[in-house]
Amino acid sequence: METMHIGIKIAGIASTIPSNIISSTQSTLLSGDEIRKITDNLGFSQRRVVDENTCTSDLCFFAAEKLLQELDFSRDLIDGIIFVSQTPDHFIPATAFILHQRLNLPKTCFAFDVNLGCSGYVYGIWLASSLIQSGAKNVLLLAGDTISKLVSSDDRSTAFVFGDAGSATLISSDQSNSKIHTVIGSDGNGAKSLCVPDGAFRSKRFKTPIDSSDVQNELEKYNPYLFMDGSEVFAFTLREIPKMIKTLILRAETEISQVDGFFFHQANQFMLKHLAKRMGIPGDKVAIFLDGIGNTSSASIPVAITESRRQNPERIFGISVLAGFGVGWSWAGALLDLSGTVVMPTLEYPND
Amino acid sequence: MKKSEFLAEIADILGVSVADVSEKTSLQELGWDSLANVSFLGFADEKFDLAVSPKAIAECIYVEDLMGLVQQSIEG
Repeated sequence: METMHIGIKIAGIASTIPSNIISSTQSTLLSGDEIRKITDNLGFSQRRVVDENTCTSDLCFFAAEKLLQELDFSRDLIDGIIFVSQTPDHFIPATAFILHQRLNLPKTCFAFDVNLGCSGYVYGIWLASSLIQSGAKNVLLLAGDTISKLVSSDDRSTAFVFGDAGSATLISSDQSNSKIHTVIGSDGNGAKSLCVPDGAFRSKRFKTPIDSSDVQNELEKYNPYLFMDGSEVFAFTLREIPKMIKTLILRAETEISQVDGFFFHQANQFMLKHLAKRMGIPGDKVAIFLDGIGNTSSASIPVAITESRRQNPERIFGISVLAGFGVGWSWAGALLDLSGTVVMPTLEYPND
Repeated sequence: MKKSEFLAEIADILGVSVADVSEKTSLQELGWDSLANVSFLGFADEKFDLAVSPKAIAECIYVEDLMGLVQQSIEG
């Protein structure tokens, strides 16, 4: 679907990456040559990964606190909190409530979680904009993931790809006529291509004590790790994303040359360069901030924006295209103006 | 695209010498892997504007099978 919201601004963006750095060259899973080939394709050999005690909510909380301080924004004015993630603290309750309590937000807030990955940040902006259009004034969007906790170190298709990060974005109503154009799409045929097969309720759940050999057999098939079919992911991206960007540009009655920056989901360097080439987007307009960070799923777009600020403090943001795509299949693109947005440089989560 | 250019592209995707690649060479022998799948998808998309299915690539055994996936774009 295609939508347009008027009178909404992205007040501020912050993101947090862990301080722990993991290098792909530390792995013994592959030979040096194989690792070199993979890291050339990915565009990074180092990633930021949380320790076992840190959750996505901790990274988002840190970003939110810093953002509210930076904006000098009273938390009493916040009407709602949306937590977008595939790595919540618990099955129950929604992590949005835990963050609501930690951030000391008012009881008049709405709070809920959204289970989305790489398209989730743009979805969050669209959702927040829709809720503002229906009466809310200020919505805090917290998007992030710690996919490293779902990855098997023995799986060569995922072991070198994912980093962890969290973000906080304040979206507010605005008197101006600024518009946010959005294009969203879904194709459930991709559900099995990017999936954690077990650990929720579709698979058999085990109760202790485990008392039979049948259960032992089931346990051997049990896979609580992320499965990714990289070829299907790339084929889906080629099929849908250039089309989505074209629609977005048409709907906004603009041209690629009028867009200041393209912030795609930071999947990998090969994919981003290919997409840019296919769509005729000049390389210097396409944000690629993967090195030393990795693919951070739902946080990758805000991290690309804040990294852009960190690496170039003088950068002026303008009309921007944000494009998320992945698990589902799901895709979401937004064309909006970031010229009035406070973009903080990427924050580092302090070690205990 | 000429057949020789196609074979050179396959060699480039795999990082092997073009002398080692013929239509009858087995992909397994050449070390075809998941990264090569992705590169081939990008190649077909960029050069021929073709959406090749990953399942179709998985069924290929020899270089000529890959060529069959983009056949209408190969000369001679």
